[in-house]
Amino acid sequence: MIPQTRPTVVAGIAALISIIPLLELTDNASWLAPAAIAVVVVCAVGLMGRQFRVPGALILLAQLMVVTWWLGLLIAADLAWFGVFPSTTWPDRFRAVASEANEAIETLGTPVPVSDGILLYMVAGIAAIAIAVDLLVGTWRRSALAGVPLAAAYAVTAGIQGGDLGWWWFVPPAVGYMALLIVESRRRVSAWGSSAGPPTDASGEPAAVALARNGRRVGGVALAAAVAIPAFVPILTDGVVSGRGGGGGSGDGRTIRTDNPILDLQRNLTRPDNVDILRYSASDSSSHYIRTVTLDSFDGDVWKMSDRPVPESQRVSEGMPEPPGLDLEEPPDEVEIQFAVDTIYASKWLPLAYPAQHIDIDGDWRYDPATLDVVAADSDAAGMVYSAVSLDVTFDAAILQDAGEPRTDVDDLLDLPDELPDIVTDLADEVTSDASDDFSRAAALQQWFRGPSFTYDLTTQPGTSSSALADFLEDRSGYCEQFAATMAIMARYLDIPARVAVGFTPGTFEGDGTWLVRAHDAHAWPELYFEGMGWVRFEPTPAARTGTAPAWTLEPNETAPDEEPDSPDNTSTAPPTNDLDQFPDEDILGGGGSTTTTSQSPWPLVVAGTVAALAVLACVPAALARVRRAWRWRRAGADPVAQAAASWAEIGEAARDAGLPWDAATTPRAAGRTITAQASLADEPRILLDHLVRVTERARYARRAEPVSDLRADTSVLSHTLVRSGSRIQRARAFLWPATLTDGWNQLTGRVTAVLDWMETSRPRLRAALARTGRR
Amino acid sequence: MPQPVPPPPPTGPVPASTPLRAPVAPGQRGAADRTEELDLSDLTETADRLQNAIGAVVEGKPEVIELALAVLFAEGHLLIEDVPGVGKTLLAKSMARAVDCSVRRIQFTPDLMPSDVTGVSVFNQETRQFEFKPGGVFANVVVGDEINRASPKTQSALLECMEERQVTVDGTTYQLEAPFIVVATQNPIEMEGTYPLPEAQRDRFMARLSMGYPAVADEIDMIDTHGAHTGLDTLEPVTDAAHMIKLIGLVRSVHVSDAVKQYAVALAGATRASQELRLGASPRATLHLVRAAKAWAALDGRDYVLPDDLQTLAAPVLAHRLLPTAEAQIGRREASQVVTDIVQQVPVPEGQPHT
Repeated sequence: MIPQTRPTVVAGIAALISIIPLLELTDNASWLAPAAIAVVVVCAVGLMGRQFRVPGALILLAQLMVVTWWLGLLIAADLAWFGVFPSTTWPDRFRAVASEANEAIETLGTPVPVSDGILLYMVAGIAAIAIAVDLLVGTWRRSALAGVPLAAAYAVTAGIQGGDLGWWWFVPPAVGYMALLIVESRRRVSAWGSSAGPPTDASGEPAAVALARNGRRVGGVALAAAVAIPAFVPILTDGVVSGRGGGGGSGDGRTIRTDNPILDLQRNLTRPDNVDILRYSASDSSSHYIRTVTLDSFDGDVWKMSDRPVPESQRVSEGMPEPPGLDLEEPPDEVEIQFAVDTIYASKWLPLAYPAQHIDIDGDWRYDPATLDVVAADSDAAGMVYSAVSLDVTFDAAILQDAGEPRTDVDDLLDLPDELPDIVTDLADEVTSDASDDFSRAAALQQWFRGPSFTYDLTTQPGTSSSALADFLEDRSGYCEQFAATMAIMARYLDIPARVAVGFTPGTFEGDGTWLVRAHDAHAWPELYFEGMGWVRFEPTPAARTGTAPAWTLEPNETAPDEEPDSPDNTSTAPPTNDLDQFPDEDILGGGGSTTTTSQSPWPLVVAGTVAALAVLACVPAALARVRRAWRWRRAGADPVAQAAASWAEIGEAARDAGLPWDAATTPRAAGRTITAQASLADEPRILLDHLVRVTERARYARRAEPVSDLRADTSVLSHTLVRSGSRIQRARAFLWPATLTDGWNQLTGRVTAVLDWMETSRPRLRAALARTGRR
Repeated sequence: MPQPVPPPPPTGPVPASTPLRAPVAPGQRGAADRTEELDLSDLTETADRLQNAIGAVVEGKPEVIELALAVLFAEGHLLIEDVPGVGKTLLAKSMARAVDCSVRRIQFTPDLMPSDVTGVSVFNQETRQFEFKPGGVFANVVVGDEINRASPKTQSALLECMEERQVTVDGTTYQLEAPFIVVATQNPIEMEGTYPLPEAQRDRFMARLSMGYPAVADEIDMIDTHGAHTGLDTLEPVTDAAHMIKLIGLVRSVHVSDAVKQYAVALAGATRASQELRLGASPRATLHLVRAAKAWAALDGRDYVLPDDLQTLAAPVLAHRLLPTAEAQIGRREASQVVTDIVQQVPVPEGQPHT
């Protein structure tokens, strides 16, 4: 093979195998062959161009044209003249297919079927990778940089698949890249990277080896970033759609689909962009919990909707049934709420305040009499504007406490799997042991969940299966889904009919009587049935997320009930029709401070968590450096030579951490002189430094070294003095990335490089060995 | 002009049988090798006394004197090269005078004959036998003044003695006394009618020193003190030959670690590989460098050599043996600058395996 050919060919192969992870994204591999052809074509054009010394820009142009032509043949062959030549109708076809692909990407989850559009995108993307690699390797001879395009396919896949992508997909691009580097180091381009080695390696390392090492580093960083970054960015896990991000910016392509309420719940809560869901304004100007759907059946794994037929007879236009179980002497007030749902919220279920009695809406919407959920027969809630009249029930703790036996028609809502984890039942019994009636038990449960032992954590995996329940109760950390589900299960265990409502917290006051509900307001809460009152909302999710609990659910204060203005006995004096007594002044205060607590966005928590995580992360290098030092001393043991070496290494690191010049290739004495001069040391540390210089000299060059007492302590004192002599920035840098880690890293890469070099030379050795055996 | 101390009797004729090798004088080599820890206080004290004594004569040049002493204790030969009148001969003579031993001064002139240096056999009428009349080199310290003025033949005679530490006249080999140190001076300016030492012969000097002009204050002091007489007349010896032999033996047993050996070899190797040098350092140069470093370490009171010692000595020990290329000469780069650069470039081995 011509020497110039080899890198290009290997680059092509590397580009080809680097696209393997993309197989995860589609349901079949039919795009693979066209993509491979595109790669081969790109490489062939590049090879020929360089063979005839065509300028690099022309090669690039030719490659782009050939790839475009190939794409056209793939998706628009029927429009081509004589079946092969591009025609003027091609651009339209390209546009059409691309928009089809966009649509598919927006609506479908992975793996996607390979339509023309997906094929177009796949082949075009892979051809782009091939062109980039060919440009870097063939034209610019920057093989090391080719790691970036080679990692692109993996990064895209990892971005779209998120944590679901196995690490082994990482292997093909890495292998291709390594092969490329090995070939490149054969090519011996010494002009690049010859002086890039660290100063410690001034021993005349061949330039090509340095090149390969730099390349390995670039590749390592690129690939590590590709693996790590998507794992920390929730947006990338949203689906194919958001993974591509940024393109449109408008509402398009960010539709929130609600098919599985529980999944949507967490997805909404963890969306990086807190999109608007809906706005409402109530006739009483106050805030309301907005409910979309009720999960009334627990099968041991998840809360879900029971099978609810919605016949035509249950059209909302024909009136809503009365809320089940509600039987008050005074009929509750009615409140009319105007809703305007954002176009991106394509929910089958209609957001409403419970219990809705009259709904004025276009389209075919039907209700479920047991839950009063309203579901679309043929459309969804996106862009709907409607009004609904709901009852504003004022719950009374006294009545709740006296609630009688539930009527028989809610027995289904006591169903539990036969086997509940012991921890669930034990805790339910334990927490409610002091309560005498159902309502007090429910209140005790709620109070316990809201207590200090639980923390709100959005990163918890969704799920309410038995093991997930037990985990939740062990870890005491989760988000509203777990709180709601667990409380509902415990309530059922305590013979209180219970179900889980999914919807939104009241949202943010926008002024002018309007409230804005956004994705991060998504919420779930348990509803418990009490005869006479019907379904009562409870709020077990900690206050950090939801503010205070509903007034009626607070445990009755038995010692001094009358002194509490909000106590159950005085509910008649409490502001009527206000579910959210925690925000009594919201209308007066307007959209300012008070309302920010209304919608307790998870972001403060996320930010705090991120800051904490970063703080911990920032301490990691310093901790590692400590470990490395301690390990060095331990390894030195009682050997005075090794001890002196450890001491000197530590001094050197301290000097570099302090930003002092440090040349590992100089003598201890010279290094000591430099430090003394640069760090302007006081007398005492200078004497200490001289002492340590002598110790090092003796250990290195004298006939035999003698153990020196207090060496480690002295070293530590001096290195601290040195580090403190650095500027503030310098010290911060030393803390974030201590010099010792650079050394450790260099050692590590050095070892890896040695292995790679060994592999590189293994072929001739193998050949020689084979030749020997052959001769024998 | 000091009266030369009467020459000591030569070690005596050795029968000119083959091989022409005399038994090595005891105590000269490997004397103190067995001592584990060297007591260098004797040496440092002696060196201090020498430094003071010589310093009283040659003022304001302590570094030069220390370097000269290092060469003295390493039993090497010293080449002092500088313009006239800066005290080359004074340094050489005061060094010789400070040690109570036999000193000969040979003024090299174009008509100086090799036999003047080595000695000659003359027929004794009374005993009717040829009798060896020792030449100028038969002394512990030989001061060769303006060595480049003598003819190459005469120079070679001296240089042979320097290397072999013996003299062969008429088939008879005479061993020279220990210690044997040649301090030669050379004048680089007045080169007309001179025979500059060839490279091969310069290589035999352990180190080359330049005196350099004195500082202003020192020069003023010098006018005061040396207006009437040189301090040489009042210089009393502070040590003697036997003591010197002992100390030289001590210096020999200074420890040189593997790392330092590697470093010395690396330095020499770097001069050979340098683009700026036509001729690099010889293996003898490496040897001289390590020997000088041993003495340097001993003068510092250490019984082991540091790479720093090699660095300090590299220029004086190596520079005079190296030949810069034409390009370097055009660029006014002197060999000593090249050596200094090399010292800065060659990494110092750490000696022990590093964590």
